[in-house]
Amino acid sequence: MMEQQVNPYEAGQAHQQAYVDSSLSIPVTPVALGALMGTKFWVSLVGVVMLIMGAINVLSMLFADDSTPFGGVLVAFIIPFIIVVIQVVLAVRLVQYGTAIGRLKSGGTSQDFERAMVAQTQFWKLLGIMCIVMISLMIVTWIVMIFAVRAVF
Amino acid sequence: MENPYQPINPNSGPSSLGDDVFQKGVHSNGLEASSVAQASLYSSKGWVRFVSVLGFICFAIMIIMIFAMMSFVGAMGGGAVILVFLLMLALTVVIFMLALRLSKYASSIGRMEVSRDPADLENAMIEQMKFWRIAGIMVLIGLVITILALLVPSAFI
Repeated sequence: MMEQQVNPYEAGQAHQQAYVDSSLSIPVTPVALGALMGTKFWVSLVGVVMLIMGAINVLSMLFADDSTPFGGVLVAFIIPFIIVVIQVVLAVRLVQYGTAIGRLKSGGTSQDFERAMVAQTQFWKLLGIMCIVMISLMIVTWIVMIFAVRAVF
Repeated sequence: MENPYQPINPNSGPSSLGDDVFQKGVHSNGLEASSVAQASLYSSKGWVRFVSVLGFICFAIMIIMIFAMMSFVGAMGGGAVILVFLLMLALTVVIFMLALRLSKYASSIGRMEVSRDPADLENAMIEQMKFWRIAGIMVLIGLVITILALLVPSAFI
């Protein structure tokens, strides 16, 4: 009987073993898979619409009146620009999530499921960080406006 | 006779619970949530919970604004104010629903982390699908309103 020789130091195999430990895996039921596939359309839609909204925001910024009053540059240009960048990055993440679900739909391997989960985690993490940034920006804007009003009166 | 309420055994393969609820004919073909997929899902739990809490805070602020507006409507009256009031009320309900879905999604992930039960993964996926469906419908409505706001004034100029 021939003994099968396995090279334990082979790069690809070691990588695969580290990733797929069947004892730790949880079966993905058809209901869970169906729900995830049902998410694809909505996730892609939200992503695409966010990209369109981002483009509309950029256009409105380009055609905006540039005669802004004191302290208006921050409120009229810098903050909207940051919001647009955030919007586009989030939209790209969502489209990536939708694409990952699409691959799962056509291929359907455990690694595709893994990719979809990683993509959605990146989206939520980014959204959480963006929320913190937005709240911080809001507080900064309030402080700037308070100081601007005090400077005028 | 099969009991539809029996708990799902992780080792018994794909569940029969609501097979026809989402996309008929979907087969998992031995698909598994690997340790990496699970770790990703678990790490998203905190951020999902954080966003849901922000949603609930937003909901509370909206409620306060609605009460303030109700007193304003009582004093002033007027159709436009009532229309704004109704729109705010609808928006408040939607914000609450979105925050609730996210909260349930985070709770399902938390339960899955402890029990490692496929049923909790199912619940998590269903909750996130419901969240994205509401978000998608709201985004579509927002897009239509934005396009109307851009096109309608230009028609009068």
